[in-house]
Amino acid sequence: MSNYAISLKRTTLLLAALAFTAALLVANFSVFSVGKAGAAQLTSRSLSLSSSLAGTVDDGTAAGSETNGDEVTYSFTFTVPTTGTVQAFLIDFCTTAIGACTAPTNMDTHPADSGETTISVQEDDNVSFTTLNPYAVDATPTDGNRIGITNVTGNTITSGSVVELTFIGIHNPESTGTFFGRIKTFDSTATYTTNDNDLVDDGTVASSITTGISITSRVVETLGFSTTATFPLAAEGASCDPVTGSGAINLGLAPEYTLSIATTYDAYSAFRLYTNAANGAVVQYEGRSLTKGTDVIDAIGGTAAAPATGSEQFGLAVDLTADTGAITNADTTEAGAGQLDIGAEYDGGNGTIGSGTFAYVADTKTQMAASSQYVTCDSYAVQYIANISPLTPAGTYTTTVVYFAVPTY
Amino acid sequence: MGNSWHNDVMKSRVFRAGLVLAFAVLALPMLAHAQYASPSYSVNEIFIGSGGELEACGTDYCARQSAGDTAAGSTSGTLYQANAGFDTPSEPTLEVNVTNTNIDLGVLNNTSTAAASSNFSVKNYLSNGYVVTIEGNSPTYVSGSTTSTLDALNSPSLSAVGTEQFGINLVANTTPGIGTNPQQIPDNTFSFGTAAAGYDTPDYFKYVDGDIIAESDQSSGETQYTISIIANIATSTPGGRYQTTLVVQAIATF
Repeated sequence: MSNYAISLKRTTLLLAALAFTAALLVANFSVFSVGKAGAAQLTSRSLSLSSSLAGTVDDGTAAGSETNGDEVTYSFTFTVPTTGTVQAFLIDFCTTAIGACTAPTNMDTHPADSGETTISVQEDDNVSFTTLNPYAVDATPTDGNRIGITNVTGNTITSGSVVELTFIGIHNPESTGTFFGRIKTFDSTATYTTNDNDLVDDGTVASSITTGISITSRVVETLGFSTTATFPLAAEGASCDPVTGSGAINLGLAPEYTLSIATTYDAYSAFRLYTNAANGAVVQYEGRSLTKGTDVIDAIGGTAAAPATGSEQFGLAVDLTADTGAITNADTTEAGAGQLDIGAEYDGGNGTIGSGTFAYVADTKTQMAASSQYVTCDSYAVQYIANISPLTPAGTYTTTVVYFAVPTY
Repeated sequence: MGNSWHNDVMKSRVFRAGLVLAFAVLALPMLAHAQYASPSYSVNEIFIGSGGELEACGTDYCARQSAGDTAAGSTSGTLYQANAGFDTPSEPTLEVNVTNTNIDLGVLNNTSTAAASSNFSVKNYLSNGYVVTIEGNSPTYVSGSTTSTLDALNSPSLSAVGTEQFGINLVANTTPGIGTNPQQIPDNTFSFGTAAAGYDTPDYFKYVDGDIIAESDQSSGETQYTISIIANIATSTPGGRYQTTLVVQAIATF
């Protein structure tokens, strides 16, 4: 065989190979011809969830809260590249961005238990819906990972418009990890759930189901409560130091401390309280009235009254004017933040005895102050008064008044 | 035969070379159509080197193969962004992984700061970047009709012992000595996530429900974040067990 013949044979083989390649090329071009020729990609696509916790996590908070993965609000935002009528939006949630769609684990876009899946198409500044024909949920796609919203008239959306779609009440995927939302717009509702013949634009977003960060801490319950009749009171200090000293009171004219039908006598004790009780605390007292054997000086009772010389009286009240003289470091305000609120019957104490009002319920535990929250550090001076009548038996009268602080944490 | 034979051979070789060149030019779109797209020009995804194949498909599966990387990461300018690496998938990706999710700050007191850390990582691909938000209440104690919530720091603040505070940041701190700066995996030429303003200053803590705490303005490889959490109480802080769940969410714009 001549070299020329060999060369021609090689050329023939080469031509055959190239013909085969050309056939592949033609087939390749045919792939182009069946693609989504008109579809453009939605841009600036994002998906925000009200909660990224798994659908199994429902702490009882309201739908749409960050810790409720059962009823979640999905907010899609994207920019439309193609001007035209959109009759349908279709969103498929899948475990992959492309290829066959596998639904995320137990995701439910049509939760039967809530009936709260609703749709709103919000008009952004860039959206030019001249007449918004509202889209409604299409009942046809019942798959738990698919949402279709339609309006058979549709709306004209111009290129560059930003569209926001909000879906409420979706049950999140129940496993952590990435999932995807494949968004498609259609200019007809005819076959939009079955094929892409009427596809206008499409695009994919990704989101992720995560585990919440659970934080626990404890604050120790505190209560500091002390009483004294020894003045001056110790300063509260940063730690709300307790008041100390004797609790003995002498009531009457010194040095024998005798009562009189012509004069009202008074004396003071004090209490100091702090607590971090979440629901506050109450201060109560309990004790007899002044007593000598079977003789008892009348208690004023639960309704505050002014001192009345010549009549039997025993009463007490917080003196908010008392931070003077020997009565130092006592509070003169009440009911502010972190303060006790002195009961209306017990806040009438006054350095000028005749200007005050007093009350006392004998033998019954009785509330005289309360707070609905913590008490930072309250120090109150309690003023006691006593009057006698001409018929009050002579003798030494005594009593012990016990104070209680009851916090509710 | 001399010159005539040589002329014929040369003609044949030139003819064959011409055919090869012509078909090579015609066939180029076939090789590129799945990977090239732009009105002007761009390379979306190609494989350079040996041992790799972008789509090796059987009847029931497809796989990407690579024998190794010479470089990996991404680069971008005002008009372009490119990704390179072992496997640069063509689909958008957002991976968020939260770890160390059970935090016990212990018994709080007004003489020291309680501190602990949690972690999350974000990997985001083929996007214009991402933001990470954190949502949830400050630790809360509910008793009866009373709800007590630790005061959240609504602006970056130093830890103050004895003052009720709850805050976080995403950087390494000295006081208290917790946290680390965002870690770029494998390094900062490939991954770009950063702590957001307000949460990026050592020793300064903040917590606002719904705030952006981390972000990247471009596609990014994995960035590992450490959330440093602090709590302080005052003497007036109600006693009880305080709890909350914080939810980290990454939102990417594709």
